[in-house]
Amino acid sequence: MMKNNLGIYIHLPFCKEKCSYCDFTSFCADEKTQSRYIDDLLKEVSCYRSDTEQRDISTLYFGGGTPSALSPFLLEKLFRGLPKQYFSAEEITFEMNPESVSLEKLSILKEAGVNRISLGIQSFADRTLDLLGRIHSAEEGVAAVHHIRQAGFKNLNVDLMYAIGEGYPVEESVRNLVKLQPDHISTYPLELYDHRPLSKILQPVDDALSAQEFSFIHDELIANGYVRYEVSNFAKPGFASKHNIGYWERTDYLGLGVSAHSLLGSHRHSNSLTLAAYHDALSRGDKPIEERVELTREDQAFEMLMLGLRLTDGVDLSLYRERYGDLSKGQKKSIMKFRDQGLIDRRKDRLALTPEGMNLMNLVLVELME
Amino acid sequence: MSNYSLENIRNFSIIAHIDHGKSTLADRLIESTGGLSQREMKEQVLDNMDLERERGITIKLQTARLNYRAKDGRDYQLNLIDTPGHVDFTYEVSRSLAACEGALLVVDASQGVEAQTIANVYLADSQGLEIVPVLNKIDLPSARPEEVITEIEDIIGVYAEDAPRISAKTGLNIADVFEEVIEKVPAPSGDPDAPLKALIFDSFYDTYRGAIPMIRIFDGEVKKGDVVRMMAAKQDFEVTEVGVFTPAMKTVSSLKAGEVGYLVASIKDVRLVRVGETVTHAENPIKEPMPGYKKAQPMVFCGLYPAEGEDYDNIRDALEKLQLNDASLTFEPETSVALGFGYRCGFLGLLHMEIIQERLEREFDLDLIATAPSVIYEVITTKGEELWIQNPTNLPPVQEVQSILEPVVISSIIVPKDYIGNVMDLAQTRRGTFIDMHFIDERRARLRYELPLNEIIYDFFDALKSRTRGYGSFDYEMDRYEPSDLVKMDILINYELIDAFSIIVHRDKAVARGRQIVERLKDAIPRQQIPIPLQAAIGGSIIARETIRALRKDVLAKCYGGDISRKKKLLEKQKEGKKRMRQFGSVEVPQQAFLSVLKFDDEK
Repeated sequence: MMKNNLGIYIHLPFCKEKCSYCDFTSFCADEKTQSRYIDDLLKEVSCYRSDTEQRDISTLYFGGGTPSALSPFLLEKLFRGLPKQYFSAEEITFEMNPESVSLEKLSILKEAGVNRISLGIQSFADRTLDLLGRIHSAEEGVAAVHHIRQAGFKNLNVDLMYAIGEGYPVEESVRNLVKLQPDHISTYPLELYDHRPLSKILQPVDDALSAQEFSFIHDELIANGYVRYEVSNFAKPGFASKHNIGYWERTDYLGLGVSAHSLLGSHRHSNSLTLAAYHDALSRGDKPIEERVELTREDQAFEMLMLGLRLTDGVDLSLYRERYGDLSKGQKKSIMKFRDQGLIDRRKDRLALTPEGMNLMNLVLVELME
Repeated sequence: MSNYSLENIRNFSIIAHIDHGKSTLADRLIESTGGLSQREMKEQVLDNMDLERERGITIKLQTARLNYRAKDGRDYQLNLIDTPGHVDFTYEVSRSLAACEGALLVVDASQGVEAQTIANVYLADSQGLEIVPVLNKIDLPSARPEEVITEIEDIIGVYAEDAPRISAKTGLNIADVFEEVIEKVPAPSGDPDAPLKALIFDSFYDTYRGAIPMIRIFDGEVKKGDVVRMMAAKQDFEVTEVGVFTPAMKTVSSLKAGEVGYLVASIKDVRLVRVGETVTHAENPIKEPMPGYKKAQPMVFCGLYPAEGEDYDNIRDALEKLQLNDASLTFEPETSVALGFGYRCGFLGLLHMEIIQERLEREFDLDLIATAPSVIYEVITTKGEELWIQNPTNLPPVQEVQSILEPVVISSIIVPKDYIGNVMDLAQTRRGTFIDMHFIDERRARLRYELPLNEIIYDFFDALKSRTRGYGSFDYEMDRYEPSDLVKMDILINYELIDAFSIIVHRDKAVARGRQIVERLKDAIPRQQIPIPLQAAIGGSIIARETIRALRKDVLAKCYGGDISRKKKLLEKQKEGKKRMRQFGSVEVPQQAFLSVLKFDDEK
């Protein structure tokens, strides 16, 4: 087992404005607050220094919020403060939004060693972008892609949103997106949260429409040379996100920053949810951990199925048996049933979901849960 | 009593509409003759049943011998025989009344005459009782005694000008009530030397002494050591104690003609001393029992199931305990596909049902699921057999059914005149047949309708209240069984008939009810991989249909580092829900779906 491999996630929670649908931990804050946060973050990094130093850091991921909203000054402060070892990672991703893409920032990223950009475009229709409360236009989205390519980034992901509602079709956006030829595409249905403003305007989309739109996206992307490797992720061959695959294969990861989550061996933990609590813990010299859960063997076994089945390659059953023993009688019976129903595909010693099975994954998982 | 004399005895009861102050007056009468102090009252008498106190209704009778020295200087024995104040207990009321010579008619001085007032007066009248009106709550600013007196005189036809104007709550003018009873209510007649003739008007169960009947002696005398005979039950018992209620139990040497009290005779079961039973001596018995005895028949049924399966035995124990005191409660084990093991219980009426449910929950700390109430139908088969059916699954096949009869009641509804139209609409939708309408005064009218019992057990009273802004009052009495166009309606889920959902319904109501059921099911059954047709059917023909669309997408799109724990919790919750589902063919039906159809609720 690659016990030594470790993914690192760094949460940069600041946004210029909060989008009307967004439920992530993100804040609008002044430069001073942001600067203090970088200081805190670097303190947290040193809390884990002795653990990280002994391991191979395989991937590094800067997510948000809007990481690209940091000023060039703070970006450089962050990169200078992080251990050199972090930048030995094979894949280093940085999330950006079109309005904060600039050649200056891109060159700082390049300089630091970032080799993958994830761009939150979401849509190529201005009225959809308006509805979502995005602060960029379709045109700016296209321009951002060109800038990123110009700056020499060879690995680009674009996020696309679907299932927004009747009257906000996705087809045009998909065609526009394909023309830009990103190497990786993540596509998510809009989720409405009661406490976010968008839920006051939109009705939840019915699952039949969501399925239909996804099916359109799926076919369009396959036709253009993309491969679906996970429930929501498509990539040109060789461009699947190594960092994200780590989550689904249950490689250890260390999440740094406010609200970040970690999986380290047999436990998961999550960090403080507010900037204040995060700051206070670190000021005391404590790790800013809010919740820590020890996973039983059963928990780990189920997670392997729950996460592994998200991948089109599915779960390696011989590895499963080696770690957790054989599947139970009940699980085997359910698997037979789902195979008959065309939801599960069993090839050699791998267990995978069919495209139909991926759509109804929760049904399958609930039955596989013991 | 040493100074026994029929002349000095008065037997009376109190009749009233709910909330008009009957129990309060009874308490006050007992208290003011020194039977018990206020504190003792609370502790000894009134704690008997919290539920009664809370709901302002009497379930079990409160009976007391009151010793009163009147203004004429003589000592009187006043026997107060309380009556249960609700239509469900009409038969019990009539027997209590049969034990009296007079009745205090308590009318709320601001509310005036209500539907139950009239019903109770008719009952008292038919027993030949002297009716003594009393105006209660005279202390309220809204009291309008003069108008109410006119109402009483016009509607009930009883002279009321002299009616005591009292406040049972404050004790105002309570002595007037005693004087009025002595003056108006006739002394009992009867021969203490004749063979024993006594009427049981109530009974209760004592853990140490068994079932104890409460009796009114009409002729003769009963004392310790006598062997008495229950004429309907055809059983003899040796009397070990006789006594009176003060209202606490107090042993006396004998009970004689005209008196009221209890007897103890090691009787195992309250069903041997039912209300209406005649008691005589085993030696030298009377020839004919007193008229009017009938066994109380349950009219309304519902299934009671434990919310937690392990409570099954506890429910039986509790029902058995309640039955000790309540001969009219019936129950038998029943199994439901949806709810598991439980009991089908029979009640005298809706209130009786509610009271039993509440007592089970409150006194026995049980968590119950009650199914929607139903009535008992009479089915005549083509072979001429008579079947009594209250569970649709027991209905013979259509071709063997000649006719189905349903219980019909005569209802009396009193409403302010602005709501007459609303009430008529309501009665119409409940298959009511108009009998007549009278104006009680310039503001209120009394409407009488024939209504199938089936139509009022569900939510009639709530519907009436909401259509009359709470002003409508309602009462009913059982009238007859009548042939009706009733059909068995089945519910099919994915073309499979689900027994538990079958109901007996009037043909005209079937489509609406069928539609309501399939709609509720549609909301309650989660979508599955396949589309699920839901159908309501009579015989082979489908009368309502809904389809639960197939589930097309059920997956968490985003599952990254921070989503995993949340996602796992979500799945665990779904798993929990799934455990409570029942499988019918390939369809999973959650318990909630059964409840949404079977459960008794007011949601329409």
